[in-house]
Amino acid sequence: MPNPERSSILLVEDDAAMAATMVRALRSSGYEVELATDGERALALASSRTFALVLLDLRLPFVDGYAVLEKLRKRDHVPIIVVTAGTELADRLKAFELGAVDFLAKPFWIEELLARVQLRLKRPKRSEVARRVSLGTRVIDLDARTVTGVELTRVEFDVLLFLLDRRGQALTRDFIASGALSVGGEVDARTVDSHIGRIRKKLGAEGLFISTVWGVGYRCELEP
Amino acid sequence: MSVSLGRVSLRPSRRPPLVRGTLGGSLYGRIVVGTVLTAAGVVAAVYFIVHATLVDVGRTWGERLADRTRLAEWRASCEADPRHAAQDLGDGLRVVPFDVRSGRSLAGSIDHALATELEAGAPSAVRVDWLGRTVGARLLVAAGGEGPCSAFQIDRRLDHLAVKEIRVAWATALFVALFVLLAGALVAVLRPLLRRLSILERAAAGVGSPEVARQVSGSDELGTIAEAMARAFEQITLDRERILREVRVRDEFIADISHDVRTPTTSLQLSLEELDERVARDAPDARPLVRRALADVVYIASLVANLGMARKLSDENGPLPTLRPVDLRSIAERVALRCAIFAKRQGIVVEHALGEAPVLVMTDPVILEQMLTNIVENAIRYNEVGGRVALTLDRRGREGFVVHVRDDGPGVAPSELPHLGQRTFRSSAARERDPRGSGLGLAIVRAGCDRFGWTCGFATLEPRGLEVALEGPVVTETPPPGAIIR
Repeated sequence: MPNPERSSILLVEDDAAMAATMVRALRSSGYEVELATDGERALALASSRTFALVLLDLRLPFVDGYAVLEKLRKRDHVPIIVVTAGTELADRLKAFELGAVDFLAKPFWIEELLARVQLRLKRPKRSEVARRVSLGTRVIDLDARTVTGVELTRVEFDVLLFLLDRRGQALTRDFIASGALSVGGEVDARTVDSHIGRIRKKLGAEGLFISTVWGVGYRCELEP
Repeated sequence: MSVSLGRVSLRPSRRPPLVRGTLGGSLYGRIVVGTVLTAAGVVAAVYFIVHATLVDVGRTWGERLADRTRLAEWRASCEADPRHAAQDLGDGLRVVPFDVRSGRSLAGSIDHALATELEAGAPSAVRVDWLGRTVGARLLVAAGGEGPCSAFQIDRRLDHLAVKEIRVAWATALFVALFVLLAGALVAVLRPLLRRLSILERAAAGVGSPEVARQVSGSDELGTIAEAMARAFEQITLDRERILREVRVRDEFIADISHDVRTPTTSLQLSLEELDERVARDAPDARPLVRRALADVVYIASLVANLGMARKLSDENGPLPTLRPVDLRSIAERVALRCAIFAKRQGIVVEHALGEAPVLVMTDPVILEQMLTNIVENAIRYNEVGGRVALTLDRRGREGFVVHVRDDGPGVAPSELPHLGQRTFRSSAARERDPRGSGLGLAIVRAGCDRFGWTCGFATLEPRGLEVALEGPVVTETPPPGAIIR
């Protein structure tokens, strides 16, 4: 569960049904949520306590959403994600100009809302890559450039390392080729296929960790 | 909200018809009158010049012929027999004596008009006939004294060749004079005409500027045309303003509707999403119904968004979208995340691989996001449960990018590929899968590519599926960090 001190969210939304759904979803994800249904209430709440994040609908009764955004930003450095039904670029640019850190365009999904909130509240720090990585029963030593029980060529090791560094992400053949194979020149993306084929064969059962992603390329899975 | 969407129509002006000028006031009349007067003036001028010249030449010649000695000889000969004193001197020359007082002759007929001049005291009188049947000169000269031999009429008829020469000379002089004068007259008439035509041309080029057309003043045809143009321009200006007003009202109407529909759509979508969670847990049999409802909500939202976008992109005369450096990767990621959620609810997997570094392109981020959303949503909407969609972004060398959206859905017949993206076109597979649909989505993709200078390609995949590829240039110079939209 996220730390309540860091995860209190001020939701400013005047549509009762939508606000209820958003509050439910945020609370069930472990966030503490205060709801304000108009701009004045939002400003009052913001001055009474500190929030980790503000979700602000730009169309509000009484006080315009942009005015609320401007006043909130002047008061403290709380990150503000604006929720907007506007489709004009000018609306977005104005929101960013006034200090919004992100926007969520209507209609949005709860999952999308949670992903955006999480992105702002728990920015993952890029951790140092461990110098020894396990892949099933095999251990990969990044310094010694060895894999237990397997002899990989320099290029094959580079490709495996590239995939390991981005474990869980789908990667295109072009991206792998330009990142792991290209040394001062372009490499045919299909060369990647033959390298991956050989790596899988050499890794044996652990070769299943490298899956083919339809329409994309390859991914080093977290689980085989 | 009550908004009138008036129909756009161009009504003809109801002003009274323009009255044509009279002959003198009309351009045609002016040209006719001007030409006739110029021609008459030229003919008269040439006639008088030639005539005066010939009279002068005739007088000089006559006076040289009838010098004092010769007059004395003729007088002496005449006084010997006045009745038969007329004499032919050869070479068409004939001399007839007469009485200077009475103007009568005993030897032949005398030119009374010329004789009257002599009687009035003139030393000589000359007539030159150069256009009549008998061409020649006649000189009456007083010889002094009185009686039937006191004056002589000297006639000289010219032979054919001389006559011909004079007439040719006359015709040539007339022709040259006419040519010179007509050329001058044409220049004089045409220059102001051309100047006015040039003003009219400027006015026509700048439709909507009646004041320019009115610079061509005058009551002739040109002035009338200019006035008609000025009135037409005024009408066009009024109509244009009215149409623009109506278009603005329509645009605001669409924008308001689009905006107002988004909030309840969001509420509906969120409720259905929650419902889907519960149904998946408590009543999985009902899940297809919720999926269908969710797909409909997404369709309505995209239709509303596409309507506004299509309106913007279809206005060829409208302002071009302001192109800014945009991180294509982050926009594609946002689209991938959003569409993956929708796809998951439809039992379809969306994979994305967008690289790690920002890919800066000059574009309008709102249009770009809608374009990518349309392509990915299409790939999801026409796919089946268990289907796959992939969104990838790769660099093409140092200066380009390529976005691919692939799906393993029913695809499109190769013969239909060239029509994809045409407004209102829907492939037969799409119609079969979902009879609704506007065909707007891919039309917006095409129009957006046109605006950004990108290319958009469609290809079928084996054994099934469709691939959409967007290609364009990347920004090679690094813009200031604040200028990049993510």
